[in-house]
Amino acid sequence: MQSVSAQLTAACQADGQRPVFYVEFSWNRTGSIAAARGGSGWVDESAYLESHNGQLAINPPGERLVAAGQVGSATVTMINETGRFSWLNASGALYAHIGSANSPAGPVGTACRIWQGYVTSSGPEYVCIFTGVVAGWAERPDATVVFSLRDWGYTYQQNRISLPVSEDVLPDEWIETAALAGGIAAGLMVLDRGILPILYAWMDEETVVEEIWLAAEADGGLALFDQRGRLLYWNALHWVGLATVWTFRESDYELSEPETDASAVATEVTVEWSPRAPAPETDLYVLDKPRTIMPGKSDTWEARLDYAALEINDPDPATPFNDYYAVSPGGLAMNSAVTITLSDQTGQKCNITATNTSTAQAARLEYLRLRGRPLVGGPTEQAKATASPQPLPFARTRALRSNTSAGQGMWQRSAQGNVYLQSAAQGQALADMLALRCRRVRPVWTLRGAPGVPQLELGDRIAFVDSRKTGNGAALNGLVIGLSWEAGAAAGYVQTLRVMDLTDMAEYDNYFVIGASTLGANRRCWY
Amino acid sequence: MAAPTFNDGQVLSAALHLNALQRNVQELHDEMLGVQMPVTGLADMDRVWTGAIRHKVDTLEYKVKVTTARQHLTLAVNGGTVATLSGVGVKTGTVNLASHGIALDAFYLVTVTADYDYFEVHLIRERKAASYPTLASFANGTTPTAAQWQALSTHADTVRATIGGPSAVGSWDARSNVPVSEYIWAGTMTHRSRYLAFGFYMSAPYNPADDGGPPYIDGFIGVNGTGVVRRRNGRHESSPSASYDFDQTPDREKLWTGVVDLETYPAPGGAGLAVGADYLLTFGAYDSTTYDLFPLGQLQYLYETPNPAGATLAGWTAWETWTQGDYVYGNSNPAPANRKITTIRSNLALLAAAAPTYFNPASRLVSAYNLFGCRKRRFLHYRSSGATTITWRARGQEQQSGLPLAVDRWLALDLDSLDGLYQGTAYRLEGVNYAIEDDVP
Repeated sequence: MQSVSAQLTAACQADGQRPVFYVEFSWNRTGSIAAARGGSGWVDESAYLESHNGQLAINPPGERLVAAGQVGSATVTMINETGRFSWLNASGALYAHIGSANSPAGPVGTACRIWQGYVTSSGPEYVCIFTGVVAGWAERPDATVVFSLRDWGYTYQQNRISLPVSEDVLPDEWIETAALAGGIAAGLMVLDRGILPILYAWMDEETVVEEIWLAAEADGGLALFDQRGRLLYWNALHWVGLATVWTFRESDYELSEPETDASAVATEVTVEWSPRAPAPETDLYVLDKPRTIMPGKSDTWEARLDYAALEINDPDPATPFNDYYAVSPGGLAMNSAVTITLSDQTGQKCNITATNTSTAQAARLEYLRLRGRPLVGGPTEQAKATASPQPLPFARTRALRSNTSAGQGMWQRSAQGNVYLQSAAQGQALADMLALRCRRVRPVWTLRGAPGVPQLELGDRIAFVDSRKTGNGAALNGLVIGLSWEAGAAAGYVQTLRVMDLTDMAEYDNYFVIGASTLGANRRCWY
Repeated sequence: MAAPTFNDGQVLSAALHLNALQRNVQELHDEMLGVQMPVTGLADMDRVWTGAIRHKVDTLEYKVKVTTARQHLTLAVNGGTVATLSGVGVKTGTVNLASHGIALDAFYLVTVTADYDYFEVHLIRERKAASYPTLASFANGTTPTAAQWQALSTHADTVRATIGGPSAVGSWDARSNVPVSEYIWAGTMTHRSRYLAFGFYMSAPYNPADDGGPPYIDGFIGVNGTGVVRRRNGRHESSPSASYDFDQTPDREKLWTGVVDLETYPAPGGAGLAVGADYLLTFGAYDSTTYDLFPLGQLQYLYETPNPAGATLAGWTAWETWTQGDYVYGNSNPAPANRKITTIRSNLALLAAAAPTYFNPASRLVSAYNLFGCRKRRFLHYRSSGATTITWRARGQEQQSGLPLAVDRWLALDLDSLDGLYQGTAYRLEGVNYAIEDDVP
């Protein structure tokens, strides 16, 4: 939950709320998402705002056994009677920024922030509830423009990068490395400490956001971009010991039946992992066709390696290595005139520069190889864990043949294809944790029409009442996994929350934290 | 593999922290008590000893024996004299290499030259005292910092680095008509394993013994000057001393191989060697017939090898592994399962006590004989002046591979690239002048 004043907290809970709305765009694309509301580079467009709505979510265990992040989205409807937001209107105030002549993609890519708040006893107070970019727009006949927004992570989704091999790196460290390389500022990340180290991590033209998601999944954690555009990483124990930050009264919302997804239940969980290990020195790259380097010139090209390389040796033309051979078109050996240098080495590629120091003769590079220590993968292996106690009626074994629900064979679920799962210990830890989480149906409640609490965030623990479950009206606690809203002069500001049962997210609530916990019968080991 | 990393704020994992650290420490223990190659010295009359060292640390240690009053020994590094030694007796000392401009991992030559007479080189090596981090108490009720947790791993990594220096591939000697006051081969072993594996060939004289009886030749392996193994070719001996491991054959020629228990010989009770202590290892072969051209003693290998039944450092505590949900006890665990952090701590302390010093031995120049190694490290650095081969046994069959050749140039071979040449596998190098194993390519 974002920090707000006591006045805003009171205003959220008051009857007769007076919501206030604020939308700003960075038309010139210089506004920093770390800046305060109305900061440099941001233009307040609230006067043109008709309404906005949006949804943010994290995935509960379901289709994917380990939840990936999800891109949030929002829609902003702006009054466009003056043609201010029309990209074809050459006389429009924003034409210099979004006009077709200057911006072939119109407003796409423009940063936008949605702030929501209430009039408090100290005046209007706002909280940022969405930070994203324009992903599309539509001008409608009723003189409005609808901007479709995606959360800030969307801006990095097409960003593909390559990185050298890192060894024995924690997921949060790798996420930070990838994020920094992808252009995410250090101040815009809030990362839990990772738990299960990754033996070898590198990137080869990979999408930053997807790699961040995968690294998080390998730790049993979750990565997402929050309302303020910050990259968050939550490890597998993020929810252990969370305090309840907001309590909803039963009269505050319309409560639906909790969703129950039985397919998320499993009696046995399999996690696939693929070992990575250094292999003996070998050829990582062999030149596919001769290259001619003109006298006194250099030639640079990208070499894609056959393996991820822990180390690449500098090419040596001397015996016994004979890594390259250059000859003049007239047949003169040119090795002594040709130098080979490597640069920009990442996991699976590097740049090769061949320089011909002879000013008189061209050199034809007939043969070149790069030797080094490759990182090779082994066959995929499996770590299995059995849920205990078994989530009846799905018996684990097929040995019991009967016409009752008992003995109907195991319900098996598996997590596959995560390149960051590379050790048996890692795979087994994840399988054991998932078996615990999959041993029961996990209800998800939807609280519709709740009065908007703008400071609420995904991952917050809230209390609410479902008197069908607790006849005495006692509060239930759950985790906010979905936040959607509608706001505008007509609708006011209402939220719909999806709240997940927290039972069995971890077996204990007192795990040992390095540097903070005391030895003895106080704290326990994680897997 | 490095010991696990403990990060501030990280949740402590049973598998990836505690059990991984235990496994790491156990491997160190087993490696420490595993195969040990000696530092090859010299007992010869060639009057020059030449060895190569891959430079790691700045202290060069020597131990040589001046055998006559007229003898002067000159110790030189890359041709520059660093010490001149005289006066009968064993001479020890160190040389500071800092001013010699030798780069890390560069190879340099050390020579010991005598102006007269037989002399002995017992060891030439680099050395450095290990510096182990102070460990927190890890007592119940304490809250170790992340740095104190990490010190456990650092401690393990320091042990690994200390016992993991380069290993010189053994070079051996052969001589005929050796006076009883001289050895054929001498060197220094750092004691860590219980058994000494040996292999030597002997050929007895043709002519009758000086006493008129049948000829014979005796071979001795000595520890600190006392025989632990004796073998005889030729004349039968009816009542040999029981103080050493003895065997004999009426055959004139024989290759003797075997292992001797250093806790038994010299009997009774062995040599009383402490783990980590250096001892002088010698081989001599003395024959019956003064004027005979044919008696020969040829050493083929000597190395320490662990007890097949398993070796354990005195005071070592067996492990109990952690699982999810186990409490992280420090020095006291009231539960039946007695897993405690102080078990790791105390075992680490034992390893540190047994590995106080880092050694980096010289590889002695050989030109006429094969080198014999027992794999300990990943990369084989070698230098040769002609065609070279490496021979080993894998899955019951002899394997042989030619080595890349560049005359008089140091080359590196990744031993992982040779199928079946695993840690502890014995191998023979032919045509190589110097050979050093190292974990650094």
